[in-house]
Amino acid sequence: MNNERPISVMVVEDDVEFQSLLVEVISGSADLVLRDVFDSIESFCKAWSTHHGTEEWLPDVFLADVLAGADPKVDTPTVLSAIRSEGYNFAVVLISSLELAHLIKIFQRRNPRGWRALKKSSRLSGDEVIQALRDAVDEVGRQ
Amino acid sequence: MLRYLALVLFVGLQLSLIAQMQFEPGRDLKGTVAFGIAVLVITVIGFLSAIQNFNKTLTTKRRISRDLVQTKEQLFAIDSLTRREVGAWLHGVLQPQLMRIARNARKQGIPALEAIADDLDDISEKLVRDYAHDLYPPALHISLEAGLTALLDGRAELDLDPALTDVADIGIEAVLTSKAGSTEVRPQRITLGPDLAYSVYRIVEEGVSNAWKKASTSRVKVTIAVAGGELTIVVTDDGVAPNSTITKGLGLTVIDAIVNQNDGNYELDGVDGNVNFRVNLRFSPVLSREKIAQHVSAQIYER
Repeated sequence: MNNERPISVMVVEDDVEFQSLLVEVISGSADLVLRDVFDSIESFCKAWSTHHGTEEWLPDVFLADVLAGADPKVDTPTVLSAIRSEGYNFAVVLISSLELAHLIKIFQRRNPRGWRALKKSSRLSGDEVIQALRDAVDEVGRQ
Repeated sequence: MLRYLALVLFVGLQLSLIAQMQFEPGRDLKGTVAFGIAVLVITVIGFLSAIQNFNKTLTTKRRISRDLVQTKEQLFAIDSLTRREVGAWLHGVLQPQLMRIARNARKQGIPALEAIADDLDDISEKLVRDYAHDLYPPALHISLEAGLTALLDGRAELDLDPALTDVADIGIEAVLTSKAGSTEVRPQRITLGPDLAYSVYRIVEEGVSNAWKKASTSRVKVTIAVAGGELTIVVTDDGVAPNSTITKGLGLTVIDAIVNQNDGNYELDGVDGNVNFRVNLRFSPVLSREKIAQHVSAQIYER
């Protein structure tokens, strides 16, 4: 790891309890800083639209549930992949109880670097989350 | 039965009349002729009635057949909806609850409770996830590409129309500012909707499964193309072509229902040593851009 500013993270997670655990993990790490938290990808889009889509507002990395929201019509990786394809640079750590290996391969075709996947389970440790965030950011660099 | 009796009686009387005219020329036949005419009228009425009944039977058969098709379609729609709802509940409600209990058990730091947490995680990650996947593959909520890639891994090559893949432009700039400099021209992403995506998934699953049932098959390829309002699925294998036309099992009954529901058709043919199972479905293409504009913009402008 380099000694630059902390890695900024945005969390997209609809499970309130799991979301608070992720926030706790990020807040407890000296080299990570929480930029914002959303309960769905739509909420994120709404907030970004408020910030007029400024690149500076985006984080270094998203920690995002694949299907976040009560009635997800748009999934998180598709939207984040599309934004990356528009030329914005950030990493994405997906977190889900789904099998993510195939999914990551699909999104790597357009944006090969900066993807990581974590299995949502009670076995998941804070260290694994932190390491995945660091590794994903190392692949794409910082803005 | 009575109609046949009347017919026999009528024919008998006519023959008797002819015989009498031949062999007894001087005899008054008025009574016999009148009786013959009466029998003729009865016979005609009987035949008209028979034709009417035949038409009624034909109409009833057609109605039953139409009702059967509609019932099949309704059953398939109910089946799809139930699968999706139960699958979503297993994935979205039960799995997080099990994980929460397991996490709370782990927090206690007691070995016996940790063992229980392990069991709960196993149930959640294996049994519940597998069952949810069997009901409605959650990856289909993301895209047809995500669902099919997982389904066909190691079983078949997938050639998906670019408009259905992540290569296509989902139109996110419809709601977000596009970064200047992105001038790449890409096909517009077409979304199929959960029902059609699931239908395509079931057809591919059935086609590939049938292809591998033949011992002679060594390679299977799935090609999906969209053109205008038609979606074509072709499952090609290099196995021996079946002797007869398609034999209908449960899987093909499901495909029947899907095809009827989507105004489509299917056929099995052999070209250049390959066997092609081809299904055409009609659909109304919806661009991802329109879907995002409707769904996300609505939320953005709610404020």
